[in-house]
Amino acid sequence: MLALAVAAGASWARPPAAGVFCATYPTSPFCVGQQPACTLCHVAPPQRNVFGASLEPHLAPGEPRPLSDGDFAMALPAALHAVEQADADGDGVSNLVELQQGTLPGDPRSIPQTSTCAAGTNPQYDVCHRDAKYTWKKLLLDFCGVSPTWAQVQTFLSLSDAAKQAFLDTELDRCLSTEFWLGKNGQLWRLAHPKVRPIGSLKAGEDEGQIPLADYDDDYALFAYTQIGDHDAREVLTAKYFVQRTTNPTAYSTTPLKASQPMDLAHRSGNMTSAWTLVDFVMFTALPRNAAAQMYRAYLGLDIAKQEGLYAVAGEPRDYDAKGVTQQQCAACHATLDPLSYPFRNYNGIGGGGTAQYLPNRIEQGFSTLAPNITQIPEAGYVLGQPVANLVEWGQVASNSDAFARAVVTDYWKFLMGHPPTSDELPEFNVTWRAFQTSHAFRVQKMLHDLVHTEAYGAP
Amino acid sequence: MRLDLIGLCAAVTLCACPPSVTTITVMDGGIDPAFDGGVAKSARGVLRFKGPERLNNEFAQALDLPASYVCNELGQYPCTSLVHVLPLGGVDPYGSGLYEAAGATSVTTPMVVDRVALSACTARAGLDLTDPANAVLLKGLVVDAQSKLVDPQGPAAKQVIVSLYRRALQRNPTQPEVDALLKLAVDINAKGEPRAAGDWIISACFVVLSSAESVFY
Amino acid sequence: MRNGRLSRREMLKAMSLAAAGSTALPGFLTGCRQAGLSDQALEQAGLRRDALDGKPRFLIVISAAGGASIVDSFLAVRASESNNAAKVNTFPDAQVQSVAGSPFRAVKVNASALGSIPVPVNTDQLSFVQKHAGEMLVATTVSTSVNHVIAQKRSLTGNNTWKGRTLQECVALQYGASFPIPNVNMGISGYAERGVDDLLPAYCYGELVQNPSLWPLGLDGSRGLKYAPTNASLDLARATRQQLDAQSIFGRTFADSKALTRWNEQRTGSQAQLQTLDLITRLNLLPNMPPQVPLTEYGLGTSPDAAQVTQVFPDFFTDPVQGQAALAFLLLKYRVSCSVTLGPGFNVVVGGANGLANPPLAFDFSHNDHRAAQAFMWARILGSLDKLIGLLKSEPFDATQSLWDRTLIYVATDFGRTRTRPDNAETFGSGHDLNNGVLMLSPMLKGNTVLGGVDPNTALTYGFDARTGRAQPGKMTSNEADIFSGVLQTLAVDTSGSGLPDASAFVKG
Repeated sequence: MLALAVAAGASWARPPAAGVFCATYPTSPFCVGQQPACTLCHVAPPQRNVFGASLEPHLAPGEPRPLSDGDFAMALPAALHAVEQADADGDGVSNLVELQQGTLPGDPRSIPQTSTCAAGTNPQYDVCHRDAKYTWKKLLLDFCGVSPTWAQVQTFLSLSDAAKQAFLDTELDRCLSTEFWLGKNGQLWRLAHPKVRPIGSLKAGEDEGQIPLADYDDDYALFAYTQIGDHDAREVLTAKYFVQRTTNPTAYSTTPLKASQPMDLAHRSGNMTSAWTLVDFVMFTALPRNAAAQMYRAYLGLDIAKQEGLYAVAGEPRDYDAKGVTQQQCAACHATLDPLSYPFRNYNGIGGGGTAQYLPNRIEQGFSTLAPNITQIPEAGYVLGQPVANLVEWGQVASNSDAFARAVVTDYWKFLMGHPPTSDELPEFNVTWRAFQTSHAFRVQKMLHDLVHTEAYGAP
Repeated sequence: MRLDLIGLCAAVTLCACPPSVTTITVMDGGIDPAFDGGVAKSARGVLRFKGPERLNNEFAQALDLPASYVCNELGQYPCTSLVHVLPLGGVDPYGSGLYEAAGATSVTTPMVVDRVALSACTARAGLDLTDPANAVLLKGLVVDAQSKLVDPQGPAAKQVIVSLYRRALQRNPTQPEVDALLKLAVDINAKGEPRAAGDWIISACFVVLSSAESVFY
Repeated sequence: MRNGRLSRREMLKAMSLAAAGSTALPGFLTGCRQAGLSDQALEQAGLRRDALDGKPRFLIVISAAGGASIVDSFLAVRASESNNAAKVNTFPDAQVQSVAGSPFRAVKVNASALGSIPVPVNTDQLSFVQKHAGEMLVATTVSTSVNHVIAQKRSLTGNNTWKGRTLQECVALQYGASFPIPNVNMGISGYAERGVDDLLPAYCYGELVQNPSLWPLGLDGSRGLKYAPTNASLDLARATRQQLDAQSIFGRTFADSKALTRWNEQRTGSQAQLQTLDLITRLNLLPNMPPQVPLTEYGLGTSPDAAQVTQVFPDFFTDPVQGQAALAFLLLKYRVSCSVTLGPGFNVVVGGANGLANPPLAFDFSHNDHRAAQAFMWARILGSLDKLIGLLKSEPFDATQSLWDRTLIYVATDFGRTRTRPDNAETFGSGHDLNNGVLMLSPMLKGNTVLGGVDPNTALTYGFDARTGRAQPGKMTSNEADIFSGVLQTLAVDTSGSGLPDASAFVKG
């Protein structure tokens, strides 16, 4: 059960709040391809941050508390407008400007960035523009793992400006095939660690642990495969195939069958249904909320524990497994989390009728005594507020979403810049993920070419 | 007289099979003038620490060392892939469940960087002594009977410095940088250390490899 | 001293203090760190108060990964007490032992196997409780996440109850200015994450340690490297480097970079200070054992405390928890740290009397075999605690107190475990549950105390008033802030302005 703290007179992060906010400020960066997290107004619900607290007196003043969701939704736009010119966090920037720039009006550390060109000259760096030599060296370090040599630098400097830009693309393609980038424990694997969450002692296959339960190298392999070449990144969530890795040099290729992966292809949905995901995140659980929350976090960038990505479904949660999630302090998150988890109901973790397999009556056969209504858990559920019939559809809806495209680009942005997009980087970031989703058809390699040509990457 | 660092070489068990060497020949002076004007600052101010794998690769490339030669604690435990991974900003996904790097240097990072840089420089110096014909750094330096540089401000010493900067930072040193490292040679000579020449070579290498410019990007 | 750096004279003084093995060195260094903070930063960091008054207190966090269940230890329920005994996690009466004059219980388990692992589990918590009851406090808890990583972190931040700082960071902020590495963290996953308050001084954040036996090798910039230049030459080299770094176009271009600013502080302040302490020797428990560990050949030596510590923790090199506990003691003894975090990981460790020192997933192996896993892991935790406390008691803090007198151990855990079981089953699996309780130990705590209680019919715990300590049957709501506040209040951390609840009930009167 994932719950929120209870406090007397608490005000909850309201399910309609995000939608109403975006209707009020549709062009706010918080609403471009996403919806704001509860932390826009809350420290952790129900505790408001200073911005949330400043809204409260303007929310239907005089009306008895607690407000219904409907009354709250009606009152929120006026309250937001009422505090626009104020500066809740005292950082010198009005609430309205912060909302327009995508910084947090309740956090004084979050302020719009203004990168202005410094006065003076610089013999080594062009600090005002994209600097080709700086970019090239950075690119080689990021993707190849080593700087150019002195001799290579001299050659590079002899190129024309246009040739330098073209050379960057050539070099990027070269680096993307290096062991440093795609090899075992290379940079792509490093990107995958928080998604796969390996545990050495439970590993099967190569580098087998003491209690080999599943081989997570297969998860890394699929992830890496979807990030390279002309492959579709969405297939990390939808693949109906498996990926094998060969070495010297490292290469990834698809295969319809893999001994380490018992899932049948009809029910396979990329890494969501890998043996490792099911063993580690479903384990022995009837309703595998952990698995759903981890997929949501890892591949859509939405952490329900941080009040992100809440799309409350009417009538939820039903509390089929009698965990008490209908309590007010739990329901705010579980109205999203539980329907997100239902499509996992037949995906078995460990033991039972078959480890890491799809078992049509899994709940009925293995968990029927756990709670009176537990067998009523449906296989249909919701992801990002959209109904889905099963986990395969879950993967399709999720991977086609804005959230997925943003999450993929955000992963690389953080990896290459060292931080999530700042307010002054948001325009380039938004262009990048939109292009990744549309013209590049979810090809990471093409997106990376865009990314290394951004000012955010190339200006010292 | 050759630099008397045979013992040093003996410590580097790899001396018997020196790797192939890339030669950087300093055709011009190789020294840039001092830049005395005000330097326009980076508005973004975004730097990232290179981390264990990149540092190892960088030091190996700069000194023409195989990656496995760069640093091994107690002569056998790899510094950047085993012993000092976390202080260098690495991860430990399979053992400790540390899936993401800390993102900032820690209290012990500077000491570990010093160790890795020193170790690499010592290894390079040892190889150069074993095979002077293919030396990477030690070229033309003359040492007296007390193991001191005969001409600590001479052209051979300058060439070592230029070579170091080009190898490690891919740029020429400035005159003040050359002056500072030559002064280091004089100061070490003046200390009367028993291996003054060797100490200087390794120290100069250490200064450049462990500089902020070398470990951040 | 200017800009937080040591003058030559001050450095000589520091070195002479270190050479004498003085524990006054950290105090000497306090001013160095704080000199680098602006008035505004001091105010923001809460360092206006005289942080030390000469006497630090110490926090040791034991991260009981996977969910250490309080009803499988000190609040265990006897079957005869419950009207639902067959269906909830109660024990046969004989397995739940009482300790005279104490509210705590102690569980005895004898199982032929640990789930599918053919290792017998024969454990008894009685001797631990009898020995330590007077300094034990158990507080019931309701947490807010059953996701391991999230829950682990929340057990240390009280669910972001004070600017998202971890307990360890709060203690480091209060006492750490005088310590070379105030906050050492050997935990895993969420227990190793830093808090979200980016405005703390850099020294407050945890120094992550992967291998406690090898980590000391990184505590000196040159010792143990064959044919490295002499210290005198290296001092000259470092001075040259500092000068060139500041003058370089790179250094001037990125002068405002936070990363570079931090780096320069660490390099010019912390590094010089740390190397004077000879921690590469003092914290090193490895023996000279060529060819695997040729310390002497590399000019290194073993800690003067090695004999004492390795006698207590003989498997320090192969069992991570033993190695971590041994290092924790030395970190406190030498006043390196005021907060140390350690605990078992999710990986299997071979060793121990029956060939297994740590099962996969630690306490979370309860999914597979709840009762045996809990018994095995509690025995592992309590055994290490007993030894560590023994060492801390043996080490004087000053003329009147031992180190233990000034230490609090908080056994943090992810969450509790579900209470239901198939009728009367002794072997069953459990899931994650928000309801639980935590163990703390310290002479500074109100010992021999249970805050809250347990409903024998459900085996669920209920809450308490953190100010008065009054039990509140029926209270089942989250109290992460109470636990967080209780730890800090016991350690006399200045929490003014934090809005934390009054947790006087935790503190010895």
